[in-house]
Amino acid sequence: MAASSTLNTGSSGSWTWGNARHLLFRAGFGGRKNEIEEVAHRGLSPSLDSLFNGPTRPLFAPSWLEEDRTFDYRILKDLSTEERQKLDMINRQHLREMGGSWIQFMIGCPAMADMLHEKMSFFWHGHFVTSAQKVKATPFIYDQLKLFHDKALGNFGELLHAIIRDPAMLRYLDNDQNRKGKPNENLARELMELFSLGQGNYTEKDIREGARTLTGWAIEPYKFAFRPLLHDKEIKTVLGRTGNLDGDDFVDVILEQPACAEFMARKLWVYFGSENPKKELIQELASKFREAKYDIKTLLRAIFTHPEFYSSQVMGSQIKSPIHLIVGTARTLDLSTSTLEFYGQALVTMGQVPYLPPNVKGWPGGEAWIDTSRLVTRFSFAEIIAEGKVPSQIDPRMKGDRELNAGAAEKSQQGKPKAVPARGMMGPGNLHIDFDATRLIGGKSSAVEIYDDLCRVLLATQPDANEKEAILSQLEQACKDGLQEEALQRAVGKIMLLPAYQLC
Amino acid sequence: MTSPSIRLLTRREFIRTSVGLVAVTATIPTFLNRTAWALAEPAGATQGHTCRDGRILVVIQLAGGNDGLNTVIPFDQDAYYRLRPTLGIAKEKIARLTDAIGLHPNMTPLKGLYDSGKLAVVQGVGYPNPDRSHFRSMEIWQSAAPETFETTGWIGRMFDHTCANKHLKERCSPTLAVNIGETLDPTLRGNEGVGVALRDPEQFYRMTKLYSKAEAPHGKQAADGGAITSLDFLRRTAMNAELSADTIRQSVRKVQSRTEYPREPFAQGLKLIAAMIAGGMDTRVYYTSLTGFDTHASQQGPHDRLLKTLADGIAAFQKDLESLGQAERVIGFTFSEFGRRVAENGSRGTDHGQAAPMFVFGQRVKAGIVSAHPSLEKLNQGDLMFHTDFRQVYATMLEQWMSVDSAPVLGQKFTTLPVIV
Repeated sequence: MAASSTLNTGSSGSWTWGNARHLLFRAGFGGRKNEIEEVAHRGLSPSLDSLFNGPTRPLFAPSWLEEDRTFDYRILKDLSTEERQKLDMINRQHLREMGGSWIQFMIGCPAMADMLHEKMSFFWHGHFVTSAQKVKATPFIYDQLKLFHDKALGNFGELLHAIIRDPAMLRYLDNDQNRKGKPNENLARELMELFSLGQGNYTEKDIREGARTLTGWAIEPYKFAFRPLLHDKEIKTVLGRTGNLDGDDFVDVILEQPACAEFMARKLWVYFGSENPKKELIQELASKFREAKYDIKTLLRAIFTHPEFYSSQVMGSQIKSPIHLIVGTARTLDLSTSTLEFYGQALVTMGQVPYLPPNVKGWPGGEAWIDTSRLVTRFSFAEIIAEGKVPSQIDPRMKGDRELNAGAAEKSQQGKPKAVPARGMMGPGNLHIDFDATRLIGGKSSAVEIYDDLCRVLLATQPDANEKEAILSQLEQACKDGLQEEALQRAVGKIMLLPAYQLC
Repeated sequence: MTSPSIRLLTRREFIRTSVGLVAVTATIPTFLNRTAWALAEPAGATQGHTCRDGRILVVIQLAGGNDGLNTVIPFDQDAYYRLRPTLGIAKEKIARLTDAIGLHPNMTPLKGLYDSGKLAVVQGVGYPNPDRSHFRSMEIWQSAAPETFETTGWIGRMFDHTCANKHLKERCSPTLAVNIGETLDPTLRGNEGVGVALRDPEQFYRMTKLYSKAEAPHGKQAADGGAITSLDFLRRTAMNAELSADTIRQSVRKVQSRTEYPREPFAQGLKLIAAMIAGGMDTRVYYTSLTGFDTHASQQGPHDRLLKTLADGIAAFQKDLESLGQAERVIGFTFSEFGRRVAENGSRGTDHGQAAPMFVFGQRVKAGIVSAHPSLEKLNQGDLMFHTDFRQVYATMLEQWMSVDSAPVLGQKFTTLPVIV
């Protein structure tokens, strides 16, 4: 296969198209053909330099954000039910819009550095879990996202210090109710169990005393506020350190634990590499992370340059998260859709809605993404894109909004669905999905060539004989018919319907 | 690897369907074979012994937090009328079950079941340290784990347990649990690939055929004997979906129900469940839900309608099961993530509360009222106090109906309740 244009990387032996593709699909949401070619051609080291040289864009900013910020959520309970319901509705609408904006922001990544950045922002969102379900008010959610965006590839220690001042987190884990004499242990527990050390690396006493260090770490609307009168100034002992400790001391002593770097190295390896990594691998990565004083880029560089990262156990073995599947597909195909509601509905039915993680543990990845219903949803997602069809004819669950049923099958004169500009998550209107399959095949005209090209870009594991035959026959027919756009789209759809498409 | 059973499977599959996906070759790994084999046999005829008289549990979720106090009404407690000046239901309208409690007037069909010995009411159900968040409380009921965060649901864990245990001889198939709805409820989530969600069998069938159109694999790349790769896992799941869709469609198609159901989606879902049961599916647990119970304001109209939908649906379902000759096999129960505050709020609605009643229905139910209605005078932060843990109901269903040891599923033993004959 043509996939063997090897380049010397200096560090990890031969650098192939497959390696380049792998890097783009793991460090990012995937790559277009020219992007994979570029990374394959330049080699690992220069590619990593570009990868870590970002982001190039500021985070999106909703127009209503400052207005939302003027609302004091604390008076919510004094409002009438109608007022509350109205506020709730606006809030939910803004959250959906913000979800759509984030997805669009990810899809629009101009360079691989931006993709890595968004992937890391999303990692932190799933790591330092906060759910809009509880936090509700949008400024909390946005400000936290901004924190993750600003510090995505910075220093983990700084991030851990920042998270105990993050209003959304303080609210989500009830630390705004943590006060002297009446400690609330929620944040102290999760800070160690889920955010830094993992179970078995602290005691229940550490939790109790740790909670006392965080007393009085509260919020005033949308801002961190330290309340000295509510803070416990007595002596505490946490993880072996004794003194009149506060939250920052608590974080500092956490960062001194050897378990911390290991916990984070493991979690990031699982996110970018594979599940169940060997202990030695994690120790190796953790020691580099520790030496670099928790510099995140150093850890990621160690992951992306590790021979294990390019091993057959890792490559092509990861089940794409719904975000990855949708963003990656949209970006790779340069998909345009008339309403982002389509992506929103797809995420709901596939089980990953931004700002709404299932619980404080975040989204369980891997095989947990897949059951019969969710897999079928992924197939219908592919079919909808390939056919540009009214989703309700295929999957009523993805109809997106009420108006989709009516008239969505209208075609433009060329016989293609007409793409109109996206109108936001709430945007009404008919669903039109479009992508330029002709561009995707890049001037190729033989079925075999097109097949090779498409599969090499879209799949990590090549189709077996039967799958190949089916796709090829579709392409041969398309070639015979003069490579009509619709036939090509359907061929792309056939590839997206392979189970292998769910992997990267 | 070419055992007779596998060749038989392949032939049967070829005869039964023209689908490429199930054209499994002899090289199919054993993990694929297990589920394929279970599903390969034509519905009905196959499950014969084990499943025809296999017992079935139907779980009905009332999502949003049902106002238990206006569902099962303690009309002899003055506090009820005092705390519910506009929402309180007049004594004379209540469908009385005893001298102390009765059902909402729209639930007269359920009183009918009670009178004919097919309905039990379990009162004051909840759990320690109740959480008033819909999200968390629902998660607690789904996972049956109030103190930890589990990724599996209690029904999912039940099948993980029975599928893994050779002595139980449970045939592990994805259709062991069927969810009426868009996605698999977390209650059914487990590690053995059990659970299918659908609302319309024909639609589901069409959806699963999408992949077949792309021509299916023959499992040649599957690492037989080795570790299951992600690709194997996806192929197995795709096959499960497709075979399930075939089975469900065939089962339902051959059932002619003569029972009239209300037109609402809830009742139609129950009708589909009855058809799947009569069609001989191997399903042991069905899950369906009715939503809209979060009645913070102007509760009366919407709540009245919901209870009517619920009662009419269940009554039709029970009647249908009886006429289809399946009633002996089926027990159902209802639950909601919490009850509501005893005192109505300023908007003629009710806010999130704690304890609430559960209904258990079916031919084999020991009709009656289990324990007393919680006091309306002794409240916990304005809420009814629970005296019966919801896991006692689960344990009862597991032990006495499904014949499954409840401890591995629920993490500990709970005292069972006298609701099954």
